[in-house]
Amino acid sequence: MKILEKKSFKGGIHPLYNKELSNKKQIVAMDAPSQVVIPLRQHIGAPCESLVEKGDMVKAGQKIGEAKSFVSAPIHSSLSGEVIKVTEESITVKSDGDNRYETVSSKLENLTAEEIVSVAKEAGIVGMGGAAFPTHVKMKAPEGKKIETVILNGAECEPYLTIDNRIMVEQPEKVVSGLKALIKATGASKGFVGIELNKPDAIEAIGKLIENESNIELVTLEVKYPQGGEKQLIHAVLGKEVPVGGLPVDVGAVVSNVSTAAALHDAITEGKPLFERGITVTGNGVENPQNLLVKVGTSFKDVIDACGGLKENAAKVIAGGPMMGRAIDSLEDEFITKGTSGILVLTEDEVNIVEERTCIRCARCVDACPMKLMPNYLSAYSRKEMLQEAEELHLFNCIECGCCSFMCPSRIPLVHLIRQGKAEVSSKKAKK
Amino acid sequence: MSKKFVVGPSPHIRSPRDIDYIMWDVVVALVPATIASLIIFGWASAIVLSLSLISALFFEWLVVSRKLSISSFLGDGSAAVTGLLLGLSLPPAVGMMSVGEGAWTQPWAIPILGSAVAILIGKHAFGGLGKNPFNPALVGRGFLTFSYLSIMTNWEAPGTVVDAASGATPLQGGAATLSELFIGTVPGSLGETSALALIIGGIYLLYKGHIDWRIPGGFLGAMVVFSFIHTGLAGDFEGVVGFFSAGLDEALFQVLSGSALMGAIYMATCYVTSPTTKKARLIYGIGCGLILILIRYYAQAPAGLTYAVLFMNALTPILDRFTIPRTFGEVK
Repeated sequence: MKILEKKSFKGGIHPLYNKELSNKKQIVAMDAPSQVVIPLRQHIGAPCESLVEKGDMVKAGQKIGEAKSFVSAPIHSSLSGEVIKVTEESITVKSDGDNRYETVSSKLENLTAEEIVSVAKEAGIVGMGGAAFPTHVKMKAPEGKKIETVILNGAECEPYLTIDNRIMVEQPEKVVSGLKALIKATGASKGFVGIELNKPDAIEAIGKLIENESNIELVTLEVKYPQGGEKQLIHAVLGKEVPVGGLPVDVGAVVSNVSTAAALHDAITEGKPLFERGITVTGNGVENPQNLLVKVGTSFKDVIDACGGLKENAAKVIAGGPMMGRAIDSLEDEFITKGTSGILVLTEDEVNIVEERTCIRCARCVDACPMKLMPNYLSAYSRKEMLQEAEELHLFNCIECGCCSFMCPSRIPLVHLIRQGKAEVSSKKAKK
Repeated sequence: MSKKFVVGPSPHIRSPRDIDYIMWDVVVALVPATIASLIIFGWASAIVLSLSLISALFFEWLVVSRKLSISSFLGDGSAAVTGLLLGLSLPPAVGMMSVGEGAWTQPWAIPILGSAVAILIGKHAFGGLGKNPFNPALVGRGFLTFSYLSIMTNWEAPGTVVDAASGATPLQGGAATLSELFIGTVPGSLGETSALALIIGGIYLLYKGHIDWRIPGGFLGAMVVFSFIHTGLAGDFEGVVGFFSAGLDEALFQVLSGSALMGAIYMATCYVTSPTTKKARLIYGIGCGLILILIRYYAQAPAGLTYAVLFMNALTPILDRFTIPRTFGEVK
């Protein structure tokens, strides 16, 4: 297959990807844990309300939390067994060892657009790239706007993570089928799959499947972070800029992750709700890096144990990738959600706590910013609480990708300061 | 037992290129110019460069460090850059031991005095690295030029390996072919005569991404364009071909002689004192080149580069302010 294109955006960085730790490892289904703790809130928006009480018996795939507001998605039990604890945050289910779930088979051709949307909603499908935004909400264009293109995000630009790559290599037909469902549900006329050039296997697998599809196109992307950023991806694929403060639908586009598309396929053809997902467990601090299929609600400790445990020098555990993931302080209190794309364990010598130094105005942050912002000024204004000045420089257009902090030779926590500035402005507005 | 892990805000990985890495890499980029000056000017160069480099590191250490160690003496590399740049911009006469009278007019004191002014006044009086509005090496050089004009413009070539012709520099009317200018076997400041060595260092800096092409590009571009304008105004040519040939000769001469390349590649690109927006960097570069060539043509100042870059340094905050880029998705 010949690859001619190398589409991209301006700015960005080239970190070490370290994908070789896991990118050739097949996705393995992890044994069901003895219990799961399923968070009622898995994304921005309102938390779910529990449908079960302590002592109830539930089945795998059974709906146990209902979405009460529009921007929300229901949750399902990932095990069958007994509900042993219900709190405001989570539902704990103890396994009875039988984790089969009922499948209801259906065909995409027989479903209307509305039916696809309601299947996605009932199955609790959310974006699996990290933010976990409910997919059924995305599929409906707001009044007066039209969705013309669906872009599948197969960039996986976060270093270390390989699960999207594996999904595309091992289950390309699910990905493409999910894309077709998204196209049908949104009424779009065209679909794209964007894949970075460092995933030749995925490009080949998806490329083969869409050869004869007239309305689906593969777009090969330059290997660059944050290539998978929603706005950067749209810019690379369509050449359009999502307006400041706007949404992809403002340029007629919807972006969805490849894993989400595969999950949507499962929901349509098997009636399978989103109660398990593929994740990458990786880093030099974990014994056996691999790609795992895990139940939502599995504790990080169980996942790490399934990968041979931590190495002696493990120092930092991150939920997600190294650029945008969240550092966690203990394995026991963290659980896999629908948005957990990976667990990364860094070692002591990879976690250098360095002292911040003065800005030397090198402008590396300015050159790296994919949103064409001035991170040097934004961070300084945020730190000094000169919030009006920061807003004038488009503080809220920051996507918090972390390119600025990554590049800064003075080790200034730029994106962290900008994030604090945003929070400060938001809380001031909320008080008014 | 539950183990506690390190937490902190994202991103959790950082580019390995910190301040020290970048500054020492600039020193690496100055190695070709240093070697060229040693070959061309011999001992005089070795003496001057050692004095300016070590004294710059010493004054930096005096202000910054609290403990006695080699690494704290070497510091973050920024003082080494300043010391080396200053030394390379001095005339070889400074390395001779027999010119002038009295302790502080001894030429060997000049590099030390220059480094003291550069580091203590040019840099630390403003709060140290990152806070200084003017390029410290040029502050030191400017001070020396204004205080010791005769020594600073004494281009006598001392005992050299290659016979760099003594007397006037090409800019002062001394004879030199373009290839001599390119190689550097002409009178001039220690590290500024060899265009070849400076260009090698410049390519290294561009390749490593330490400098943006906009500053040297704007700088040299402005000089080239104005050289053509000047040629046109002088009218000393025949026909269009004659104009281009004369203009090109003039442009190459201007770019290759004096401190133009040193200024464009190493001085104007100083992070701290140059603008941070892309557009402003280009304007700043053009401004530097334009002022330099205007001084060369219309004023008889021996420190054209110093004036040009220091003046543009002063404009940096204004240039930044008026060139904030259009943010992604902004409709203007």
